[in-house]
Amino acid sequence: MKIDPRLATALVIVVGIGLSALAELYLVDHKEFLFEGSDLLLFWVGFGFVGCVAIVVLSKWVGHAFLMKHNDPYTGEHVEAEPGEGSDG
Amino acid sequence: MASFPPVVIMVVAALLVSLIPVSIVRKVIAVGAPLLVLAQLIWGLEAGDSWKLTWLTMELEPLRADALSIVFGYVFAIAAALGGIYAWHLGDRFQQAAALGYAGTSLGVVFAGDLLTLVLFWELMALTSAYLIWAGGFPGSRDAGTRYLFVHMVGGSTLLAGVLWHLGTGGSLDFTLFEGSIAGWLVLGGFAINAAVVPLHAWLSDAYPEAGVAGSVFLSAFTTKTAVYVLARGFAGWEILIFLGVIMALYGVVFAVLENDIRRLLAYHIISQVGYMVAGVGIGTEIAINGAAAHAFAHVLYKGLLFMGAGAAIYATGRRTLTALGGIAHRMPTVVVLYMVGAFAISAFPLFSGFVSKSLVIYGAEKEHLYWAVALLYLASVGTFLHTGLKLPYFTWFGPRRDDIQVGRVPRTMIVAMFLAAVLCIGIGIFPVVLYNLLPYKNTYEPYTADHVVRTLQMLGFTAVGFWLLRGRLGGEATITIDTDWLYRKAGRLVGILVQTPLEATFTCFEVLVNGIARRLSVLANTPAAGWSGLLRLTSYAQRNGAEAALSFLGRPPVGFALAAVLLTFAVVILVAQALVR
Repeated sequence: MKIDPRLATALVIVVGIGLSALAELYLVDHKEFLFEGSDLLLFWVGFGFVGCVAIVVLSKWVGHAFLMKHNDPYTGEHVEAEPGEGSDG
Repeated sequence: MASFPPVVIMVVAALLVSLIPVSIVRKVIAVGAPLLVLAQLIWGLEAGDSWKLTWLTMELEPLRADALSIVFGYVFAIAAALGGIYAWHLGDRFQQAAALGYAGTSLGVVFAGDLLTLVLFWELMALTSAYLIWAGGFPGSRDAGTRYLFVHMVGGSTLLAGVLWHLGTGGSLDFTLFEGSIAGWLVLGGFAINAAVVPLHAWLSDAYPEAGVAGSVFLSAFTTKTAVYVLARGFAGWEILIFLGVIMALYGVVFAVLENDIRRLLAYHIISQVGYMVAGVGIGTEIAINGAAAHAFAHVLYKGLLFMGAGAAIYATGRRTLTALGGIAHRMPTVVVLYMVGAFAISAFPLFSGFVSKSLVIYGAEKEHLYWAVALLYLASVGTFLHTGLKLPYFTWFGPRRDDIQVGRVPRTMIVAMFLAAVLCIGIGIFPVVLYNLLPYKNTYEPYTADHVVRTLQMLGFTAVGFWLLRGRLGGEATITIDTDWLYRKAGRLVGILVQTPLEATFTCFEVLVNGIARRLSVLANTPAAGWSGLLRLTSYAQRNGAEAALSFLGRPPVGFALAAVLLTFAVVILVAQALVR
């Protein structure tokens, strides 16, 4: 039986959230105050996910808008996809 | 063992390695010398040991051992030994000597009790490490090494200027906490360059990926961590370092998203990780300084392991970018597993070293109610796992199988070094008390609370979910990312046009001129008759065709210009002499 990859991903996310909530509720007896809101249930699940998405989206946006160049700004040459450079080891 | 500076052992070893022709002996020395230093630190040196000497009128202190210097000394000795094992396959004696010299001078900085000794080893550290980049063997290695040296010479000069200013304004030679004077800021500037504080950081991501695979392992260990040490020694509690450290932690993460070169990606994460240490130094409390020292210790080991893993992939395939790699995990599974130990350690997974060291810095911020710093440092942790734990290994080794990539054999010694580093990363993670007992201040922090473990697993687990959903957008792109080195690399070109070109033209002109005069004088001196007959020929030519035609050769540069210049000089000399005699 082949499982649809999207379904598998959704399953993993749901199970992950469920296990996280259970661990937080039953294993953690004292939550340290780190900053406002950090002690909410499943806060760190959201922090990890939203943080990851934000880093990727914002960095890529800044990179494509200003920083990433297809031509080497110092030599003017086109940047090759397969450099195949060697090292002396 | 006697109390003498550990740098002595390393410098002697470097000299021996550069002279001994037998390869195996050199390799044994390259691994044995750092182990000897480690033995000296364990059994021969104690906090409070000192070794002083008087030079001119100054009392220098090449050895001052205390808890802070000893913890850095331990990890530097371990890193140098692991690097020596990783580089076992190398035949290049000068790279071996440079690596030993680099590790040795880093130890020299760490145990320097006075500012002049510090400056001396600081500069030597730059020279020896630059050689490792020059010897990289990549097309960009030579220029990157030169830029690296240039930046570090600027840093060293800033440091020296600060030290001289400090001494000139009545400061002591002792290396202790600096105050907010001009001298203090200059010294901080010099240290900040080596710590890769943004925006003075670009030398690191520019140069480290251009070193050889073994060279970059050494580079990842010493320069930035000696800078963390001197910052902790001289600038603990300087608030600006908290802001700069947090900026570094995030800056490295952002640029790592854009990077395609696997070792450049890791280099950006050095900047990010050193940011935690710099922030810890800025907080300046005993907990935070402990955190900075502990994180430096853990970082040297896991970052070395990550560079070893990336280096093994480059060594085996000859490729260094994410776009050129992928789908080869099944052909180098041991390397992948060992790399992942380093990745889990840097990402601060429970049971790995980063978990017990990074959290100590964040705990220091938490205790000082720096909530914004706590939140942003956790955000940087998300980015760290995203890149070094997910993006880099996924696109370097995983993904669709690629049988078009030729994968050579990775030397066993490389694997052994990686294995030992991995054991240390896990060992520190499981037994943090071993590391905590080495720290400069008494430590009461307990990393393994249920809250901390669950929180970390939740955060990193859902970072992985985010990566999985966005992996299509995270692959490498064949581009070059502009960083702050753009300023001096472009400025360098401008300096070339405005200064170098006219200077070269002037020198060339005078060179031709002087050579021309010398050639003619030589002809006359050898055969005066020829000179005389030439003059006669010239006279008869002038009689036939006029003086102007005869002397037309004077208008032909550079001989004409030379003769005119010589005559003019004589004329001026005579006129001046006459005026003086009167």
